[in-house]
Amino acid sequence: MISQLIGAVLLGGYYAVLATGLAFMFSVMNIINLAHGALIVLSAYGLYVLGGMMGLPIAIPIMIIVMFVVGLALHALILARASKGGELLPLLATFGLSIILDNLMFQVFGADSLSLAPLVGDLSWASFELPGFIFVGKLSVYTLIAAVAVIAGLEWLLRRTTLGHRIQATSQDRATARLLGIDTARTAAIATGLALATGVIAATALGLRTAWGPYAGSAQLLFAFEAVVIGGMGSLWRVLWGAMILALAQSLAAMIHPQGFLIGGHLAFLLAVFWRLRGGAFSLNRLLGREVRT
Amino acid sequence: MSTLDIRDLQASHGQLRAVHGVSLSVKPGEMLFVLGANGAGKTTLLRSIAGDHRAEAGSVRLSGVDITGLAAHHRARSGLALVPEGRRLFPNMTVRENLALGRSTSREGPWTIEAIYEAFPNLAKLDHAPAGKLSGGEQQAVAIGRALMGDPVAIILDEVSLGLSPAAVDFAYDALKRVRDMGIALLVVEQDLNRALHTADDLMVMCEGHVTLHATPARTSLNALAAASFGHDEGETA
Repeated sequence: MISQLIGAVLLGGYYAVLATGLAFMFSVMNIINLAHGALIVLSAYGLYVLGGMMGLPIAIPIMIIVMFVVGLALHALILARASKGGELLPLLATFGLSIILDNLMFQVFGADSLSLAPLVGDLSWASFELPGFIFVGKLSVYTLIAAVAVIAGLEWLLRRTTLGHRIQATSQDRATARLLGIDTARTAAIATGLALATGVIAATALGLRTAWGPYAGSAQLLFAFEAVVIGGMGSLWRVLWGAMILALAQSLAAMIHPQGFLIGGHLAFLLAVFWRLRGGAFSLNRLLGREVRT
Repeated sequence: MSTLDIRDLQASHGQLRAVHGVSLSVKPGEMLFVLGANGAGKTTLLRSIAGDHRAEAGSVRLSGVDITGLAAHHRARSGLALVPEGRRLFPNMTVRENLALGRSTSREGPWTIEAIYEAFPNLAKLDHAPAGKLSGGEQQAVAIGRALMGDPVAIILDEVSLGLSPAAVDFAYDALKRVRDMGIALLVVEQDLNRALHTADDLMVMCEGHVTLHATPARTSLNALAAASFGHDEGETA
């Protein structure tokens, strides 16, 4: 039981890493990036190719820079235009992008399942032994630490730095931000770049813990989205709690029935949806538990 | 030379023309009031000047430089600040963070957060308070301070006294007079005709997008302003 609980908390760390970029993008750009999962898988392929050439410790920072630049381009080419058309258009645009990415990756890399595990020696299966004969995977512990570090880093950036205040201003009231002399297009592009850069950390965790194929993005997106909805918006720390609750619900359901894992997570997600939308019409802000500022 | 010089500005909301060819100019250290009833086109005029709304025709010159083609954030960086209706502070951020955002214009000038606290002593003790928790008068002071932080040459203020207590309005206007005395050009939209008549250097009344009266306070009266607000000539009854 304790072992399962610890496992759930660590799994929550992985979901939190997946979800942080998605939540960051929504909280600062009001865009639900449905290509989030596909972009994580794209990063994983990048890590696989670069990591094979120069090793993972060098490949990760390079991919972070690459995906930051991809984020700048994504904003300039797609998101900035799509977000002018209301709430729905960015959803459709990023959904389309995810389909294109999925199939491009299938075209280039084929249907083979790949893994980053061979690049890191025994890290993927090494474990710490806790008192009471409990083993926890080192990788899961490092993933949780990475999740906390990424969230702490982004929260620090948002609340303590000039750039972060400009990002907040741009997301809360774009017109007023512009009137203060803030280049809101540039600020939003940087925010998109940051969201995609955090996806590289998620891709590292994904590639090390499992094998993935070109269509793995939608499953990652689903877990990330469920974690974001359960946790709600406001602070990125809520994403961490949402991810923990999702993982706990999955693990508890798996204890009740061997096939309950996914169903338990979906039930927790649906409960969160019903609770957030209680007694009112649907809107993305309400679904994600964000107060609408007027 | 005028700091702010507007020529034949036209602006619309869809099919509806809100501003019909308005011209005005504000000199350094001058306070021009724009008056008029709701829907007269005042806010659209201000937003078009600041670049928040796209004007259809006309020109905006700031210190002699044509800024008509510039986006809103470049106009702000040229030295044109807008204090919007309802202040539009960032409620979750502290007073200090709100003021610091005003520095986004990257302009050289005398204003620092400490200088703002000297000019508005009541803000100093609210340094770390979230802006959303402040009273209306305090918020207006932060909004004016935030505009000053950008070291502007001209400040446009929309509905300065709306929603403020009489004491807060007095305080805000005291502050604005000091700003004017520093040589900054002020363009102020106000509903309170009496206050405008006693404070302005120059007055303009708009009705349905047209300028119906333009005069110095010495050359007009409360009745004339009121009549012009509704599009009547002076003395004509409604």
